[in-house]
Amino acid sequence: MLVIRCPWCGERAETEFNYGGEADIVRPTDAEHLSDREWGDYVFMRKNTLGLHREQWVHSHGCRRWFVAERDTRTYQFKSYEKLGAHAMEKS
Amino acid sequence: MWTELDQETPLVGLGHPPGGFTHGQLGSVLLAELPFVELTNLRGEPGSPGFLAAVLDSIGSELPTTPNTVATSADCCAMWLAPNEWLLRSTGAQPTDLARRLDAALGRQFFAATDQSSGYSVIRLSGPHARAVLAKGSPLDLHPRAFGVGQCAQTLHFKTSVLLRRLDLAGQEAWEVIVRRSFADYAVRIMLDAMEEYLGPGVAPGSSSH
Amino acid sequence: MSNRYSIFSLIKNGLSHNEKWGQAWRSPEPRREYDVVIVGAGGHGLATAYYLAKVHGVRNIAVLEKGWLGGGNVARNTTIVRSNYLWDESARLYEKSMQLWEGLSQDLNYNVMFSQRGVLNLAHTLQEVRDTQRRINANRYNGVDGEWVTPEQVRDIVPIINLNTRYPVLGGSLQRRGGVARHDAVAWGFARAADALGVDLIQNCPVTNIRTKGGAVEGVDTGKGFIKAKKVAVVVAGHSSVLAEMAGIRLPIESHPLQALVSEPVKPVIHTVIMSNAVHAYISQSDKGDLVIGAGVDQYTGYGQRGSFQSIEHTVQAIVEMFPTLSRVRMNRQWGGIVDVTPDACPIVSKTDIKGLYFNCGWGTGGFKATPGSGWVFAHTIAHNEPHPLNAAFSIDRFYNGHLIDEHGAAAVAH
Repeated sequence: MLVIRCPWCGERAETEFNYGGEADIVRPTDAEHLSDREWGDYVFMRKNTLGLHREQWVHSHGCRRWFVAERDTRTYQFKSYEKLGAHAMEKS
Repeated sequence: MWTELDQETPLVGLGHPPGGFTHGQLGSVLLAELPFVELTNLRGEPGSPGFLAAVLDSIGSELPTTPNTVATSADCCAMWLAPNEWLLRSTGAQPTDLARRLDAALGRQFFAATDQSSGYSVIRLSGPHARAVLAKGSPLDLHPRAFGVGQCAQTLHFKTSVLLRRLDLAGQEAWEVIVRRSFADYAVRIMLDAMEEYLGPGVAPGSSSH
Repeated sequence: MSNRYSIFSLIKNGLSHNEKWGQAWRSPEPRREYDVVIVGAGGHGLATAYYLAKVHGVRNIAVLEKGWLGGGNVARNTTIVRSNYLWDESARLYEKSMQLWEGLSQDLNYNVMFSQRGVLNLAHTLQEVRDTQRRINANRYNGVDGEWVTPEQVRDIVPIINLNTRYPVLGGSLQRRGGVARHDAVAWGFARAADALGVDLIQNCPVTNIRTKGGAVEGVDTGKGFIKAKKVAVVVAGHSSVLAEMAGIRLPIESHPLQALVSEPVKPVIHTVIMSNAVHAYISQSDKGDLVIGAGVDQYTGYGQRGSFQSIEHTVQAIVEMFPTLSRVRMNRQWGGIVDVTPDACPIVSKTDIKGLYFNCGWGTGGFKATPGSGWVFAHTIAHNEPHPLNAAFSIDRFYNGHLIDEHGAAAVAH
């Protein structure tokens, strides 16, 4: 079982989390002008990195926040964590 | 809504004693259901001007902004759920209609206060073996070093989500478990099973001697 | 075949104390150039090489393997063979595979211990009953055998089952032609037969780059130098994305750990393969008595050939719920493989945008049963530079034109 550090709650067991796949995939804003190729690339194609992978997790059974983690897909070791987006609390 | 004469808790399947279901002994481990506790979910931006002050005015307690901590006042306990979300647990004997009071106090703020009293069950585990019973289904380190009084945590108990809070009942170790109503029967039955080794033989669920 | 296995060769070698058996296959050094280089000496890669040589007459073939032959998923699966998939495209492909299984030991002159002991897919809810009966009907339309069995029949087939669990068994589908095969023997049988047809099997030879020029493949850089090839066929399961990146191709694949475990050997108690999607468990018993149990995929992507403990725990809980009598059986070994999962749980057996480069991947959690069929259609695709009618629908293009074949949950795929 992985031990995952939620940026809010600290280290917790993997069972409290759900995996959210590859990070940094941006939904195209002009979807109606995309070719089938571009749309297929956005919807289906994945890096599936061997090595350091930027990915999304959500602390489902905890604070229910999404965050981004960097994890080595060979060793499963986490290298870094960051909160998703800028929260209103930090902006003020 | 609080005047219904035959309101039932989700533990009705384990027996229906007035004052809630209990099992065990305080000298070992005691499980007690606290029926019909008033719970209010509050969402809002702590950074929004005037929000924290208005809440303080209304419920008499600060809102904790440190993750997984608790702030208490005379009749309310505010538990951190998320950076913009808290559970307010009334501690007085009577319901205080918190959601309506917050509505009135925060009228112009960007917020949501929702009465969730009927959505959850509140269970208390106390006694020297309470922590050991809880630990059987918990991925957390429950040692006082890691989880002290004044802290709370949303986590799993076996297969169900729970909100744990550590209590200090006159020096006696105790825990409060808030669990979704529909999972309460499951959570309590699996706790009863976990308690069995610490209680003497022949203590049937439903009996108590505190 | 110089070293043909038969009752006579058994007697002859027995008389010489079994000391004179020849090598099952050669271990040659790679030549500088091949007509076809197949990357990956797993079940699918070896089957591809065998059918390319046998059916299509291509003899100048190398199969390159990073580790050892048959050391990946073909050594790590739960050996289940069935063809009761819901959709026409998949049912036909897996049924072709089933038909090849039925003659495989004779064809390869190697006993792959294919045992048609039946595959039982349990239904635990009314909706599952409807879905299962629909699938049985669809299977029969496609010439795939299948029958509905009642809870009483389930008990007759598996006497140790507990029908009245939290999710009671309401019936199930039985494919009598389904069963198990000895996974390692499948790799070894294909390897030996391909070698006998002149295919070079080259182990400890990782591919580090796929060279292309002007939109066509030139060859591969390997741990043993550059190998020129007219055609390169990639069959590397969990590492497909890594090879695709070398060629600048994108794949809709994510690699996940998938775990399995076996118990200590016990007397025969389970005479068929039992699968349950609802409680998520599948179990069979090997000929030497081990209970063979498959867990679910781990949620995260990973290349580590190991997964998280709770996946195993979840499966074992389901097994014990269905078979309380197994609650005190001890588990002997547990391991993981890397499965290449596509969005529609169907494989990609396809040409690519690069001339002479072919990919066979995306079999996810269910590739073993397809081993001969996958090799059959992939060999055709490589030899003719066009897909076989059975794999035409399984091209990469379906993720761009929308013609997905959604077998997720549909075909008794448990994950």
